[in-house]
Amino acid sequence: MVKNNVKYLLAIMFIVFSVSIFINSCAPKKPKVDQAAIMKEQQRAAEEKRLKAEEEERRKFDEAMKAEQKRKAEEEKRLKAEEEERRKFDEAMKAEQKRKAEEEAKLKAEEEEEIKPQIAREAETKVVPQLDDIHFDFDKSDIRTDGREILQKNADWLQNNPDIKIQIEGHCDERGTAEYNLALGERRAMSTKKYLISLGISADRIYTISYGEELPIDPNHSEDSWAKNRRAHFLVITK
Amino acid sequence: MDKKSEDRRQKSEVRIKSFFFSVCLLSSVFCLLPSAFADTSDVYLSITKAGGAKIKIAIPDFLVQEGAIDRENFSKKSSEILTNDLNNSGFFKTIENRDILKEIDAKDKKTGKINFNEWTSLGAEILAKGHITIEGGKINIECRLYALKSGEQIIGYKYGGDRTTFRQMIHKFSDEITYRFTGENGIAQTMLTFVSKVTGNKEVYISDYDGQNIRKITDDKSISLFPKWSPDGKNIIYATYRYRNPDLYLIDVADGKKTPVSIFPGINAPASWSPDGKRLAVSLSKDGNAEIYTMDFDGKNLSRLTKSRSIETSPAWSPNGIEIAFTSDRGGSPQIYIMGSDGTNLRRLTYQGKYNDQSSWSPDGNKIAYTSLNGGQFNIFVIDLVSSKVQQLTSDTGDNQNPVWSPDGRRIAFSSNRDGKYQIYAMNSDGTDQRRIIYLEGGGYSPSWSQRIE
Repeated sequence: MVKNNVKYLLAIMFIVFSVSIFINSCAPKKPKVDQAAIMKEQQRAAEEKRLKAEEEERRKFDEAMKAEQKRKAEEEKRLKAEEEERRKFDEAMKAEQKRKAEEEAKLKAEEEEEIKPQIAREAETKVVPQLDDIHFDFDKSDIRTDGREILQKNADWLQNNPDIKIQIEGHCDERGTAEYNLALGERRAMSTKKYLISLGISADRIYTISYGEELPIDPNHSEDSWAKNRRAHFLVITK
Repeated sequence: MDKKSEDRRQKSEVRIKSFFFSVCLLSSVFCLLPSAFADTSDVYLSITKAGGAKIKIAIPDFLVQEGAIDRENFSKKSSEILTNDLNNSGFFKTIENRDILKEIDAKDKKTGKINFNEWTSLGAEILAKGHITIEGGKINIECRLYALKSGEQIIGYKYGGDRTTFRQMIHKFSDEITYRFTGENGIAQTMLTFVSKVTGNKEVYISDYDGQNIRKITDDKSISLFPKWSPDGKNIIYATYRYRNPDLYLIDVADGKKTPVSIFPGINAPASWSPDGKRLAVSLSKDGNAEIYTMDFDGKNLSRLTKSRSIETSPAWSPNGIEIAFTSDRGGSPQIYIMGSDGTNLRRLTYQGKYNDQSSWSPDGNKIAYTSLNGGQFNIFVIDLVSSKVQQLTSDTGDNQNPVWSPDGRRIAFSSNRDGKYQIYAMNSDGTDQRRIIYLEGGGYSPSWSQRIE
């Protein structure tokens, strides 16, 4: 019986062994540890990483370059625009300066042309028959044709009497307001003075005063009287 | 009374007193010492009616103490002045029948009490009574107001003065009544200044707002033009040819002292006060033609506002001080323009009419009255600054010029030659109730209306 038992035992052992071999062979095989392969693999990975980094670097560099170029282009454009702006501004400034200069010149010319009134406060005056009045149209101060002839005559007399100074009175008719007529009488006296200056009479021989509508020569209220009252009257300064 | 005899009457009243006298008179104006001696409650508006209905007031002749010199005259004059003032105010209607007033007043005196029922039966709502006592040239007036319906005394006032301030005392009472019942300041204490040729030369005159109490304040024996009251009523600015040029002078109304303000060669007028009385806008031609300048009222700190080859004149400072209206012919004919008081924001105001000048702002600043020349005749127009609507106030009555507003904006004074020579007239600001207020043989030109002078 023991022999049988041993047989069985041996048979079981055999089965167990073969089963274990089988199981063993079925279990996943452990990878073989190959040091060299690992090293190689690692090197390759590192290389790859480096390449990738380099690539990234290059890309970044390119991008930066591109951005820089773009920036530069923009900067250039900006500068150009600025330059253009400056040029335009300079031009405008120049134009403005020119305009201002012209305007100033014009104003100056006007001012030079504008003769300032001169008054004879302490003077005594008299009428002389050689100096005739001139007359004006309603609300006008320009010298009429008939006035020009009279002023020429008056100027001739003044040329022949170079020591005499005169006062021109500007007068208006009653058909205006006292306020406006005061200024209108002034304008009539001044335009008469300017005309005499243009005929060669020195400005400092001519004084002016406006009496507006205050001293009519004819107090009536007719077209005739009004025409007489719109006048520039001449007085000789005696003292 | 026909017109001629009325003219004579007015003339005889106008005594051109010596300058010294007018000085006394004016200075004494400032010495009036009113004092309330009864109920001084605030504005009493209970009788004021809507719709512009007038308050009816009975004013019997004032009672004057027995034995006083000129008793009748004082008694009549006082009620006359007050009646006229209150009718002028536009708020009141006075009871006309003087006989009945006299009768009830006599009854009051006899019974020693106010017969409220009888006064009410006249249709009156208020009764104004005055009692005058005269002692050695000093005049005291005690004034009382009664509400007739409730039968109570509303207010009483005492005024002290003399013959020269008699009218002012009554004017003051009138303004108190107006203020009591309307809350508005009356114009009975305002004054006029104007130009007249009484002496043969144009000189400056002043008068009470009602054309009474006329006094000459210049003696330049030359040509005086464009007098304008300063806002405080103490000075008048005017143009004079006394020194052989149209110069601008300031005259102190109380002492008659004259000070040169602007004496540049050429024209120095007309001028207009800034509302604070510190600056003047003036038309000057010193630079060759008439332009608008501003300067301090003593002529300092000159500033040029306009620059053109045309005429710029007749400046008028707006009541808020921000703008100046003026006349310019830059567009070919005289028209009214407005600019800022620094010369900026220029705009043209008038487009209607070929010749417009003499602008005058209404006290509220909403309107400008001006003179327009059309068909050879001057007439007064008012333009609304908001709507630009133009209203003609005078027509078919000769020439009408120089409009100036009363400080309450209800009346406009002007000069008109409708009865021959130019004289001073006044009308409501809508053109109604046109009345001559001054008649002088020498005529009346260029009026200016003062603020209230107390």
